Amino acid sequence: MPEERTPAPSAAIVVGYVLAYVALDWVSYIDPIGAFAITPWNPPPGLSLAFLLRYGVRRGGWLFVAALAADIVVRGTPAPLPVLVAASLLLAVGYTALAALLTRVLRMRPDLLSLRDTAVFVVACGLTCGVIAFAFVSLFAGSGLLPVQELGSGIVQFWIGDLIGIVVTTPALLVATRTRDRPSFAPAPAVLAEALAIALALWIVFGARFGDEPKLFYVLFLPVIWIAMRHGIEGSVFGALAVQLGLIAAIVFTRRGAGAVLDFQFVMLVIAATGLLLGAAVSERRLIERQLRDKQEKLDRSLRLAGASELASALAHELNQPLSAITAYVRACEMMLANPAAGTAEIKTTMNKVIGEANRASRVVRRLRDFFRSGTVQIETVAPSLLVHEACATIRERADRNQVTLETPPGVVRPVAVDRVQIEAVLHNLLANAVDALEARSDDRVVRVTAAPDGPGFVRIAVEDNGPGISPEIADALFDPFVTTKASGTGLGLAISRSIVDAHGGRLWHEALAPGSAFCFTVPEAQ
Amino acid sequence: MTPGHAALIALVDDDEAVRDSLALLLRLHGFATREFASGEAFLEWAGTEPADCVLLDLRMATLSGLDVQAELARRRLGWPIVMLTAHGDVATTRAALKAGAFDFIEKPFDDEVLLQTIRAATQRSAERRTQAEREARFARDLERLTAREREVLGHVLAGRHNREIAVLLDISPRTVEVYKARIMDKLNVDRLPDLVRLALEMGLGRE
Repeated sequence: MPEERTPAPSAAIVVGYVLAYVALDWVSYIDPIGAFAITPWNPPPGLSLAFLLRYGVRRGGWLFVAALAADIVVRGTPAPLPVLVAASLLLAVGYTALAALLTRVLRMRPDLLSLRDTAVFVVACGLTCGVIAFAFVSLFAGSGLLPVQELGSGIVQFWIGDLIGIVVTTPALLVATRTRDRPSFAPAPAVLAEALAIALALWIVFGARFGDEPKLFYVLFLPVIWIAMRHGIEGSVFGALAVQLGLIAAIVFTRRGAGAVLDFQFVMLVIAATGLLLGAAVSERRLIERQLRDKQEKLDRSLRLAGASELASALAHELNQPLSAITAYVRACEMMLANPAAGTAEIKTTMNKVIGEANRASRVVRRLRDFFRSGTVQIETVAPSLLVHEACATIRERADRNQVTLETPPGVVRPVAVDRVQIEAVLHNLLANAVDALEARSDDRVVRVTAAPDGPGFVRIAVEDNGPGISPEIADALFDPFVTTKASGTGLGLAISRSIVDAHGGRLWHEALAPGSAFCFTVPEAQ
Repeated sequence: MTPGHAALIALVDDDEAVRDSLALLLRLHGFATREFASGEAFLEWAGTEPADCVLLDLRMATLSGLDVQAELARRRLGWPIVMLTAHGDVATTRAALKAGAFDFIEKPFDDEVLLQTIRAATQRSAERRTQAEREARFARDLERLTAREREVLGHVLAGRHNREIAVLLDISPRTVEVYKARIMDKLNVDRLPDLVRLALEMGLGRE
């Protein structure tokens, strides 16, 4: 329940709330109907709603106190006390019920972090304010304090006044009092430009007199939309507030009649709702993007770990082979030496094989050492042809065994700035995949590795094979971790390769050839 | 394995050095070897000669050791399989043993352990072959019994005494004795308990 998380307000906050209520009521007591709080701009309910949403609906009693105080202080007790008490009670009950409806029934979270919460807020406020307006104005009309013919216009004015007070004031207060994702209030050139845009729009509507004012209302939309697109709801609530204040100031300054204020406030309501909903949509999208990015980073980290352990396991397997062979060869030599009939020629041949296997083991160890040394990225300037050559050397034996021809046509490209070991691992992985892919082909198995300039500042390296190609079903999931077509694969190779290339600022993608497929990636040229 | 006949080891590993070195060592220890660079090549050969042991690498590029094992089982080739595994292949090793592999050896291997395991495997193979030969000889001997002798044997295996058999076959107990002596002579056994044990081992008298 939201109640459990809302702290009790301190005495200072309660007193501040009541004083602010009275002060706002006094400031906004413009163009009233009768001598009652029926004005076309009425921000105190907005303040009250924010107070209740932040501190819980149980603080509803303070609304009664504040509303009664305002009637006495601002309007000098315009009606018999019992009527004022009834009116204040009605306001307190009405807005407390609205707060309860929002938090308990509609499950709106007061931080306005999602479009859904914001839309729920606008719609629920619009409907509830209508009910309160009807009850409030009927109370005064029923007490004979308001002429019956003013009932209709009174209800409309009260409704628009309170609703706009809420839609402009409450979100601004809620956003300003967030505990996380708080907007920064640091002055920036952009904020100044936005303030100027609002001022300019107000000048066009009121100052420039290009024609009838109502026709130019729409100019006020532009700065609010701009701010909403730029800052999301964290900016748009303050943009709408600024437009509202400017509008009221302009109305007071140009001494317009009651009808004009009401017209302006209808437009203001639409502007505020637009800014609110657009801002919420923008903020929500940004939040989702940020969550996705966080998730991606987490995945990348775990992939790097998985990559290291996969590599270690693969290297251990590669070490086992030469070690097993060496053991068997040496034992064989021992037996041949013990047997006087055996010739020295065969012993010599076997000893040479032992040396070959020992060299093979040390190559594996060197690769392992290189990998762990480069736990951090070590960027060096290297010729792409060297990368290709080194990677091909690691796969040559496997290619020969599978009767695959490795083609590396010469190309003139500038040196690149990469982590040599990591990019070689990517190339090795792509080459191994290409060699495996050619198994289905009976003859003329070719893998081509090319390097070519790719746009400004990048070199493109492509590994092409003339195998059967990638089936469309798995083409989409090609780079997802744990997706594999190989019985013994983990499905991490391409995912890891892509994260390595990404870390270099390049990209890795797949292209279908006829026949076969190509895996291409880009890496930055050395400066 | 009969004396003078070298046990035949099939070596299946996609690493050429491992294959070559193992073949050399095994040949020096008096085994005959056949080498295969892939599971496919081995399966093509399997069945053309009887192997006494299959040294099978678990991790191969195309068909894995488990695939090859399954195919051998499907073809009912019950050769003892020794899996060559890498450290950490626990799950696959367990699967291989459950599927009836004779044993497994972790790479890099101790050559003494390897040779012991191979000897044990070929021993198993030889025992199986001896058993098969005994069964074949017994089947041949059984063919030599007359219909009447087979009838008497059936009653003997059912645990009946001479007198009961004599009543059932309407002959004298003395004649039953004569039949029994002839049966034992033809099946190359000296004592009656040996006859019963042999017949039961070979699957007679169960029904």
